[in-house]
Amino acid sequence: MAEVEETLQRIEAHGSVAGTIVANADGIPIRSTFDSSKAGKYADVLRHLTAMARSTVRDVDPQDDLIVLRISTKNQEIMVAPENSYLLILVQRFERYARA
Amino acid sequence: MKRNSSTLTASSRAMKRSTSGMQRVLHSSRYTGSFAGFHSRKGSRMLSDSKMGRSLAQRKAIRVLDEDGNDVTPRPLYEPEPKDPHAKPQRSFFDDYYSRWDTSKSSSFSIVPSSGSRWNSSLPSISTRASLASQSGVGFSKLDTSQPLETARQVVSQQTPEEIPLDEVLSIYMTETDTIILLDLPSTCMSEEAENAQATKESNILYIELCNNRLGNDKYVERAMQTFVGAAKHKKVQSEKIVMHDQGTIATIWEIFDSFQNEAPKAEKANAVESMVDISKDPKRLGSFSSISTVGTASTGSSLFKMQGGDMSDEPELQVIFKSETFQRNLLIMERCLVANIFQPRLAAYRNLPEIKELPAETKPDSEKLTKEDEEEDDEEEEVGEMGNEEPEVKEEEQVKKDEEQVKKEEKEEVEKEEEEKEEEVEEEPDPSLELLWTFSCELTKGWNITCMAWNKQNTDLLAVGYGDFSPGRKGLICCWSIKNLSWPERLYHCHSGITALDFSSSNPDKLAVGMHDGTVAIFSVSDRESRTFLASSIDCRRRHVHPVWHVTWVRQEMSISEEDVVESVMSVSEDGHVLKWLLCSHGLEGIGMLELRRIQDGIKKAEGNKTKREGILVSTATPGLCLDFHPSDPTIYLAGTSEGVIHKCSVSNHHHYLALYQKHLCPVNQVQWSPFSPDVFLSGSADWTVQLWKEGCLTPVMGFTSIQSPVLSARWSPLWPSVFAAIKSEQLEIWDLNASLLDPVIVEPAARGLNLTSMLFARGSNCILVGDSSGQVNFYRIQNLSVGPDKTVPSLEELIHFPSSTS
Repeated sequence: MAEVEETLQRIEAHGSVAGTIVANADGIPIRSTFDSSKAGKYADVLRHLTAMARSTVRDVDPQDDLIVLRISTKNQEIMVAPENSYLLILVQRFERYARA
Repeated sequence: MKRNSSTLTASSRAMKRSTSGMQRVLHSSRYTGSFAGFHSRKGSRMLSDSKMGRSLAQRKAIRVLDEDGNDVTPRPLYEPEPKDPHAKPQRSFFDDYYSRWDTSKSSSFSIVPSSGSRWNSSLPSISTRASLASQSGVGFSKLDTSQPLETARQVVSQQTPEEIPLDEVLSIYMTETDTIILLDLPSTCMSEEAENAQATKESNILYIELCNNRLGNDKYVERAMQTFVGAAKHKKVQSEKIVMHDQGTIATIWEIFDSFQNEAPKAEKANAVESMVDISKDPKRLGSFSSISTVGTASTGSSLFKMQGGDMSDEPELQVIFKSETFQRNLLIMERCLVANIFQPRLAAYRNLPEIKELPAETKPDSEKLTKEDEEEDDEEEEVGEMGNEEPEVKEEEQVKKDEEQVKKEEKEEVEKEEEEKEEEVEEEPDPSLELLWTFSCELTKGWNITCMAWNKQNTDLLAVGYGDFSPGRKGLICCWSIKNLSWPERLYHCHSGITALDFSSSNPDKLAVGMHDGTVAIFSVSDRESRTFLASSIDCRRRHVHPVWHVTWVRQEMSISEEDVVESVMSVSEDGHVLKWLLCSHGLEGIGMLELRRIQDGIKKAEGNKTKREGILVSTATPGLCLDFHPSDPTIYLAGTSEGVIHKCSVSNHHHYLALYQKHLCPVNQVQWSPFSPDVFLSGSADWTVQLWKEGCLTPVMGFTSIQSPVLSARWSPLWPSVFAAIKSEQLEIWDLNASLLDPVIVEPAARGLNLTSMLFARGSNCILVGDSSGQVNFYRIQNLSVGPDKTVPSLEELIHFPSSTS
């Protein structure tokens, strides 16, 4: 238990992490470093997407299963780990460097 | 069919009499107020009264017998179950119709006609019976209906056991039944030639006269009637709202698969094939991610409530989630993803993978250093501190091994130096150099002195690092780092004493043998996340070390040929001079003495020609053993280096004597290692500032290497290049390439200011080298531009030894 907390805090303490969200199965954030509206939005939007992704993966091979869904965008990277009873979301943000 | 001549013998007389009356009854029912009907009604009533009374008095079941005496009792249409106490025979239409004009039960009886009256007797009779039953009420119904029922049933049941013989010729009589009239609307007109024509005519005339006389006649009075219209009463009924839920599912392949896995309970859900457009209506199998329209709104409502209502309901949920193993595993994966994202270029460099462009970099406090570095490196290696992914979709953990650049403030100087070097040599053939990839370090390990490192034999990403100080009483720490997560060790073990030696087993890859400063040899199992302590230790063993254990190795000991078991045991050498072999038994470690290293004293010099031979004589005093190395191909031969500077070559089978002595060093030999490429060449590093290259069989070293005047703490061969080895001194790391130069190391990497380098390890499968220092950091360097690339032909070490070539 404490270890889990510790790990989560370690993750959150990373410089590049914009925030983490732990949401329950209904898409309601239980624990989040974002403010609640943003967290709710992330959770709600992502759970449909992950359900779809999971369905896709398992359609191809029912014995396979989705572990992590990573979405890299221009500004950030969103990592979602879906499970039956919860959703773990991690948002990592970076600064892009202008290439010479 | 049998002749259905069911004449009710009991009441036939009555029937005949009332037949005509019945006809008139019908008439009268249409013309209300007709006298004829009235009379007939009366008559019929009287008749039926008597009949009724008789029937009531009898209280018996009515049985109808035909001419032959057969029981042709018509069965009721409705046969209530005998067990059902509430079953009441339903009143047929006829009951209602006829019972309306007669409150007493008489009328029903009168209606029962014979077959001659063109009515099917069975119907009304049933109704009679039924109505009788219902109206009387008091237990009568039961007796009445049940008895014929039972008899009928009995009859039926009696019939079934009898089997109709098939061989007999059955004669079947077909007869025409009586005409069944369902509706009879007699005409209102009569024929002139009918019998009653005259009578009817007369009555018609009478009637007309009557109508004419009505007006103005005193006999007839106009009367008005008014019916009361009762006050209407509104009655409303409201039922509870029936909540409807929409539920849909798509029979996806995985769902069918899952249902087969789980069999019965889920089977019903899996087979519901409804085509729903909205994919969000997934069944609960997906873990109640089902968003149903009605439920969806409800849940948002409840979610608002929940969020406002405080965390009371969320807390236990959070706890439950935290406890689940999958959560922990996911966290682990996430952390690795995260870190990998940051360190992508470096990890790629480590694994010789191409780097991903356009990866955003981490914003760090020393970001300007990063940019500067980036600009410089841009020219050469196109490494930009950016991040990206190959596929933005599902990714396995293993694919997330990308490299990263991470610059720590302590290594800034070194890195800048490297870059300067690199910049200078951009156009020409670059000099061999080391590039810092990353550092294993965390708060827990800061300040600890690294004493030893070992790679896991199976999982090439796992590195065990031992931390310990050599002051007594100071604790030790073992960290298992994984390359997948550069920021935090996978495992952390606290030990009661400083760690001095580490080795992973090859047959049980999760076993880690540890040698400690107080002489304890312990075995850890790394695979178990939960365990915090060792599996077995030698603390309580009878035979154990009491001095620091300087080296542990797992050795495969093959048993006799019949047993194909390869038992692995731990060999340890310690400062008390003993070489012990440890076996892991059920009750812990068991130590077996192998050898005792003795002091060697120079014996008598024998002059044999020009050579002076020195024979060593064993003295009984034990000498501290500092290092141990088994021959790579012959597990019975090993080398032990002592603090005298003598290297003993020993055999596992010989417990008392050495096989050969290699004497050259004047100071303690800190490391011996066989060459992984040449079977009879080994290297030794000693505190007398030299590294010596030996060939087996030759008692003097073939070559010696010195650089700065500092004890060599460790010397190891490179696993990739046969002519490359590395030596570590407390101020610098040296990489020697015998192909390039025999006099100087090819690469010299000085330690950061204030730090002492203490241990070194080559990385497997990669051209990287690890250096541990006294501040608890393990630095990963990549060796670059060594002239002995894998694509260049490498002359074997033998040739080098025999024909040392001097190159610039």
